[in-house]
Formats: sequence, structure tokens, C-alpha cells
Amino acid sequence: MEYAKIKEIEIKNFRQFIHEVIKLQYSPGKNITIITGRNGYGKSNIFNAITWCFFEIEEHLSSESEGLRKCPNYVLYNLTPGKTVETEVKILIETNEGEINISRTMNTHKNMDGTVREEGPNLSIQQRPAMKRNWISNPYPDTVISHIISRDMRKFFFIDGEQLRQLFEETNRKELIKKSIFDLSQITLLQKTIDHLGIFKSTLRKGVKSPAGDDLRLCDQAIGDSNHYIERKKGELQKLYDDKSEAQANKNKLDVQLKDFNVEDIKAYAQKREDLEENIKSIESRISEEEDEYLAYLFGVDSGIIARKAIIKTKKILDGLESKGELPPKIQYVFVKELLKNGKCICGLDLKQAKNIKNREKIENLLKDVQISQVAQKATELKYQLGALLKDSDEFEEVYNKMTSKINELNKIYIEKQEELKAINTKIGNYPIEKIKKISEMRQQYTETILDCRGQIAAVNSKLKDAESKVKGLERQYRAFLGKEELYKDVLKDMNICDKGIEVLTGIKNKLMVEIKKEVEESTKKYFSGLITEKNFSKLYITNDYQIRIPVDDRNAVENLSAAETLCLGYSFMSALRKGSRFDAPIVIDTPLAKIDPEYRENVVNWFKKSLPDAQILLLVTKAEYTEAVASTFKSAVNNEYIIVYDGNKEISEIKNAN
Amino acid sequence: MESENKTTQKHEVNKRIIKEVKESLADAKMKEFLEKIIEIELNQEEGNKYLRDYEKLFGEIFD
Repeated sequence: MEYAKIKEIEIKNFRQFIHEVIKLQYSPGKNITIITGRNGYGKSNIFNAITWCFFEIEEHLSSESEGLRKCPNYVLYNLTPGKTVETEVKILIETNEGEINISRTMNTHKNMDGTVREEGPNLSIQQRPAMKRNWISNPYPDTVISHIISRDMRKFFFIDGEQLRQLFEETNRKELIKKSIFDLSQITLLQKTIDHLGIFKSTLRKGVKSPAGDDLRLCDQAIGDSNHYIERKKGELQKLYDDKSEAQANKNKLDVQLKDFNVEDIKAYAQKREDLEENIKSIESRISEEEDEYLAYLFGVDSGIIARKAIIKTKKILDGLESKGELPPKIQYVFVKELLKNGKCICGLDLKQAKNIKNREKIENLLKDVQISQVAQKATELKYQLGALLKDSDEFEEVYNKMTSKINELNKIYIEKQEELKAINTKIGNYPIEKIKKISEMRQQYTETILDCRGQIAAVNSKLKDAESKVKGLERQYRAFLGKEELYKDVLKDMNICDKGIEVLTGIKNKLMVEIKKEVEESTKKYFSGLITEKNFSKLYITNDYQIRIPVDDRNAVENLSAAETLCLGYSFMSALRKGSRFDAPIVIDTPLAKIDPEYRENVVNWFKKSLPDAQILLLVTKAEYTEAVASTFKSAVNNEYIIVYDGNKEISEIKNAN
Repeated sequence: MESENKTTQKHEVNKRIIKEVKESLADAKMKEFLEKIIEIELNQEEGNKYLRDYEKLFGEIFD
């Protein structure tokens, strides 16, 4: 089969469709069919109808439809109890070898009590070879379908645009790329042939009975045991590869999460932030202590501070009075009084003697002169008290300055630290530090798992090599024993033919694997570079374990692609597979442009037109995707255009010709 | 019907495999054998029917 084009899709009693026929015309360059419908109108169920018909799988089943019957509720509701309704999806395909009609059906029966029973599904295929009139039923429907599109490759031809990124993650994990390339290059077929030749050889050996001798029997048993051991080790090896692959995929996912962070820098900043927050707390506490001390001091000196101006003024008045002699210095009175008390004048005269009575009276008069009034005395006392207060007040200024400057200094440091903290928060404020730390730890665990798997893989491989070498030796021995028996010469000859066949087919398999991988790699690179013109993805390659890689700055850029870029990579890989197969299968894409930014949609549309002019493409689009600009760009390549109309009351959709 | 199937279901890549088989071998019988077992596998549903087909082929080609 060189090509397969869908001519017609007939949907009966499937999901929200009662009976719809979609005709698809095709000619090169006019190869696209568009079906437009709002979300919920049934676009994805058209997609599901196609995948169900081919593979009995509803690839894009919405959560609301899960668990619901395929037969529309409206039909079931109106179905008479005891009656049966048939659900059928029929796809008519035209190939270079004739027409193929694929039909998958199932029955829904309404019991008399109103309960519902489903039967089926059943798949049937009718073929009408080119130039023949009659339709012939094919007894191998799955085989026919696998020649149109294989089950493993379906995800690259029946594409759910919105889930393509997920598919590519899955692809890496489950090695779907490898399987697709194997399938595409018929490596699967070759491998199956090689395996079957091996099994056939074993049946030949089983035909050799005990008369051939104990040596032969023992040797055969040893070969059987060794092969069993090899199979077990191969199973272990596969599990290790799967574990490694899973750990690698998980590590890649974490790398994507960490790609915007320089983890080491963030850790350093986070530590600095922690230190700063601690420091700021300590400064706050010191400021608080200093302020408390300052306030306590203020309360202690408050009267002197509050009345400082009044005190200065009063003291000034008292000083003035004193300088005018109106306020005798207290010392004068005290001095004279002291002279009288001691009975001795400053000139040395003894005032206690009677002869000096007059002198004493003179001094006593002087005391009267200098004796101050009660008010004057109070004023004098006040003057001294005011002096002391002013002394405190003078010290206050010094202490005040010292204390406030300390507080100011601390406040200044506090503000600086706050600024520093603000700057760090700006840098890492939105980063979920704890999450990043956790992700880093998990990443480390996956790295260790990968290393561990690598070590174990090497060990198992070494054991396998030894066992395989042992089996070869045993095989030689077995053949030698067999050669001695005339009865088994034919068996030996057939076994040698099997060996030769296995050797030739293995050589072809290895050669094709390399060639087709290279072809797919080159085409994917070419298509992808055509789609993403703003970035340089020219280093794209497919690794020996079938992972797509684009090395950019020591990272695999595939892990960092946007949803739109991943979608484009999916389209590129699908196109490369299609080209590599040299087989023209139809392509169905549900929401092909939803993940593409509006400004790039025209580029993608043009790419579809330019890269796949000979492919039959059915696009299921939303109104939001299929804008006027997109429609206008597609226009020259569109052959059929349909629109889905929804009846909300009946919950039924119809597919109308849009023209 | 079966033979019609076999002739109509040749995949493009199978042609490539057959071409490789032809180029890899000088032995005509071996070439025929491998071409035919690939065809058997191509049209094979799941099961062990191939064992009988292989046995028949050995008889037809090598005996």
C-alpha cells in the first residue's frame, strides 16, 4: 500500500452524533479538511470516533464523557424498552490498491425494566480491489488496519494538539520514538521474524529425542537453562533501562523546573537573607534598648530640660542682682557670722576680750548690714539650686547628643540592612526557596539512581555477554554431537539455515535501524528549523537510545521548549516519520493551533501547506483558533469545510457543510 | 483471498527489506526462504501458525 486517503466518515449513534456523514475530498495542494466547532460541541468526539473505529480507543475522551455510553442519551431516552440501537463508525478509505471500508459497531439494548446493556464492539473490514466491482470481507481486520497505520504510530498521525507536550514527555519515558522508528522501518517485523526463526530452531531441537544420547540431552538441557538465564537477565536489563529512563525523565522534568534558577546563587542569597533578617532583628532590639535607656534618662532630667530656658533666665536675673550687690553673696553673711562665732577678727583681734567690745559691736553691726531678708535668702538659695540644675542640664545636652547619635547610628544601619534585604527580596523574593531546595535534593536522588542503574546495567551486560558466549560454546558442542548421528543430519542442516537466516536478518535490521534513524533525524531537524525560525535548533539529533536532543549550553533544549515549540517538534517528528515510511497515511489533528501564539499561527499554517502538501489532513478547530487570518492563510489548501451545530436541548450535534 | 492479501499488503519499507535481503545474499534458496518468511510475518495475525508455515517452507525450498 502506497497511500491511504479517507473518503468518508460515517458516524451513527456515537456520543452526541445521531447520524452524520463527513465527505473528504482530496487533491495534492488542496489537501485539508476543516471542521470547526466550539468547545463541547463534539470536535473531540469526531476525533474519538476515528480512533475508536481504527483502534477501539477513544483517544481524547473528556472527563464528562468518561463512563457514559457511546449511544447518545437522546436516542437511549427515546428508545422503546426491549429494542436495540446500533452504534457504528464507518471509515471508507481509498488506497492505490483499491478501497477499504472499516466498520466498528456495538449494540446498546434497552431492557424492559429500563436498564441498558451494551454488546460489542465488533470490527469488520470490506475491501474492493482496484478495478473490481465486488466488496470482499477480510478475515484479518487488525492486520489490514496495521498496514494503514500501526497502533504504535497512531499518536503521530492522530494527534491531540493540546496533549502533544504530554505525549512527548511520554515518548521519552516509554521510548515511543524508538518504537515508532522500529515500526516505521519494519524493524519490529524483522525482529519478529528473527525471534520466530529462533523459536523454530528450538522446536527443531525438541524434535531430537533421547536415542541421540545422554551427551546430547545434557547439552540441550544446558542450552535451555542458559537461554532461560539469558532471558531473565534481559528482563532485568530492560527493567534497569526503564528505571534509568524514568529517573532521567524525572530529572529532566526537575531541570525544567529549575532552569530559571541558578540554584547555587539562590541558596547563597537565601542564606544571606536569613542572616540579614537575624541581623535586623538584633538591631531592632538594640534600638529598642537604647530608646528605653534614653527615655529613662529623659524622665530623670525632665524638669531641668523642660524649664531650662526659664532657669537660665532666672539665674541671669539673680546674677544681675548679685552683681549690683542687691543680692549679697551668701558667703559675706556666713563669713561675718563665722568671725563672730570664732571670736576672732581677720586682723587677729580677739573679739571675746572686753577691751575689744567695740570692735565686736562694729562687726555685729556689719552682720546686721549683711543680714539678708528672707526673700533674698531664698533667692540666693534658689540661685545655687538653679546653678546645679543648669549643670545637669548642660550635661544633658552632651548625654542627649551621645544617646541620640547612637540611636540615629543604629537607625541608619537598620535602614541600610532593610535596603539590602529589599534588594535580595527583589532578586529572590518570588522564588519558592524551600521548593527549590526540595527539588534540588530530589534531583540529586535521581542523579544517584541513574548512576546506580548505569553500574548495574554494566554488570548485567557483562553477565549476559558471558552467558551468550557460553551458549555459543554449548551450541557448537550440541551441533558436534548431532553431526555424529545420521538420523539428525537434516535437523542439523535446518538449524544451520535458521542460524544463517538470523544472522542475515540481524545484519539488515541493524543497517536499517541506523539508516532510518538518520533519515528521521535529518527530516525532523529540517521540519523543526522550518517551523521555529527565531531560534537555532540545527543541532537536533536522535541519540542511540532514541531520545531527541538539541544541545544548547550543555542542556537539552527539548526539555525547555515552550508548549508551542513542543507542538511544532511533534509536528516535525510526525512529518519525518511519515516521510521516512514513504507511506501516505491520513493525519487528523484535534486543536492543532491552540497552543500556538496567535502571531505564529500563520507561520505554522504556511508550514503545514508547504511541508505536507500531499498529506490528507483533517483539522478539528475551535473558532478561537480558526481566526479570519488563519482561515485566509489556509484557504488555498482547504478542500472541505464543515461546522458543528449543537442543539443544547437534545444535547445533539450535527455536522453541516460550512460553504 | 489470502494470496490476494499477500500481494496487496506490501509496504514500501518491506520492499526495502526485501531489497536488502536480495543484496545481502548470493544463495538463491536462502534468498527465497527469507523473502517468504518475511511475507508470512507480514500477513501473520497473533499466534503460532508461522511454525507450520516455516516447516512447510523448509520442505518446499530446501528438501
